[in-house]
Amino acid sequence: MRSWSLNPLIEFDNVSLNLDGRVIFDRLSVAIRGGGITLLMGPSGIGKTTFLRLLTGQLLPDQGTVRVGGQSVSGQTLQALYAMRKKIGMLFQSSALFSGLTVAENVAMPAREHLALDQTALTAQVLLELERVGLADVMDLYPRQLSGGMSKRVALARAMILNPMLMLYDEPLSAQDPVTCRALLKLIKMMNAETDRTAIVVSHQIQSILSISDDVVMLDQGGLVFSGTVAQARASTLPQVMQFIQNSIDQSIDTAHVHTEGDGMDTTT
Amino acid sequence: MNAVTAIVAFGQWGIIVMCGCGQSVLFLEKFIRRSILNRCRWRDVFAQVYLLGTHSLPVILVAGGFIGMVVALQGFHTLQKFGAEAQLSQLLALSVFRELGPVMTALLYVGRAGSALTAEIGLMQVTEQIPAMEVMAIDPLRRVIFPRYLSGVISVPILTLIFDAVALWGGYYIAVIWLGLDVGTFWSNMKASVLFNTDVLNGLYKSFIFGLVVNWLALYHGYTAIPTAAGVGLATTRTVVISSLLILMLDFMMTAFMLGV
Repeated sequence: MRSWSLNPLIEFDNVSLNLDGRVIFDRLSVAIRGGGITLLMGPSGIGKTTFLRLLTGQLLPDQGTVRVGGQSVSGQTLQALYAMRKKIGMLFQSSALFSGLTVAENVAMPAREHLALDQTALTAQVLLELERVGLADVMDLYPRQLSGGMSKRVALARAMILNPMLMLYDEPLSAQDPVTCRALLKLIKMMNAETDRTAIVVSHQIQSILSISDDVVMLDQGGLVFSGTVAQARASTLPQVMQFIQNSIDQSIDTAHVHTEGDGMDTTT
Repeated sequence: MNAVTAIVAFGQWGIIVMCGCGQSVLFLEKFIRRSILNRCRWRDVFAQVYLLGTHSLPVILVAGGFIGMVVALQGFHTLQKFGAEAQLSQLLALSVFRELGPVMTALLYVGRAGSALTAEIGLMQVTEQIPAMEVMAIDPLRRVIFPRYLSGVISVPILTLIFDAVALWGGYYIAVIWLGLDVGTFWSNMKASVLFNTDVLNGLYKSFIFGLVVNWLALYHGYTAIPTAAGVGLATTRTVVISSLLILMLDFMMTAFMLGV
């Protein structure tokens, strides 16, 4: 039984963002509660990865406020921003392993920077994290010697070593075979079940991620289309949501609906 | 109408260039400020000095040797017309210490290590290694950029000294072994004409300035590269072209300043 926090962990309050003259978000407001796994879905190029970059403060909104744990991401000093980022882990689409470092050095890097561990304790911590993802035997290899699935698992171990309260996954299943997909899903579920960690998963493998998710957020055309639980998403009659969740292609996705079932709000613009 | 369009285009180009200059200065200020305020990782700096040095050394050795030989050959044939071939070592040493050493080393460094630096940092952007560092609350400017900058600034004068030595050896080989110039005359004339402070040190000052500029531009172009294969290629080309032109312009200005013209 998960313990849900009463206050949302993540809040986007009237967030607008333009990049290269293109509207990415137009007064986007959405709240994500803490303690579960939320699937963030939407058409390609709609700003799902940008959503994650706003959460980590790598991008700042043109207007509006992004809050993580009640703390605004904007207007922070670099030190405060870094202090907040230490509580956030992220699995990048490309794994983003440091090519010049071994697997063990990659996993150790955040801990080496931020934790006052001696070499023995650090090695033990790295080994523990690699054992959790089932890769303790490849710690001396370089990223170029790993398969795509192994790279993702190493990146997951690296993201988890600081025990973050919020974990962001950017397309964790992309370009993976079904067996690796199942292994990664199991890992994501397991990592989240261990603590009251919150996870946001951006993915196009909707059915796979839905099987481990608690909530769903859907973005389209600069705004929120849907926000609610998985059950609500499955029951939704919104064409965009039906297309993504039920693989229905009969519906037009041109209609711009804004619907927040958790709030009981349904607005057609 | 065409003239107006051309003026507008020129103006837009000028704005882009000025913005680029401003951003590169801000980049320099930012990574130096953030790195100075934090503990410097000397292990990373020395590892990079080793890498940059070993990357550039073969090119420096080969180029230095051949340039010294060519200067000796050309100089001998020109000085011979005036019966002044005994002054060949003076010509060779002053050319190498004052101009050829610092300028050629910087140009070769840009082509070999500078472009490699841009490509490396650009690829780190493409493969999301730099954004990953930021998310891990590790400042890439302090952890990646500054050690490379410092090591590049240290490497260029060292490589210049090596270039100088090899070029003199190449010149000696041609003048003494091949053309039969007296070995005693060769070295004594060189020793008598070269002043450490005005010739050798001024050359090293130049190479130090070149190192500051070249590494700054290489890292800036890599860091701001568009994260695509074409973007990294473009950034690498910019590093080589802009740095090469700047080296020649700066060399002229510094030479004029040093000669008191």
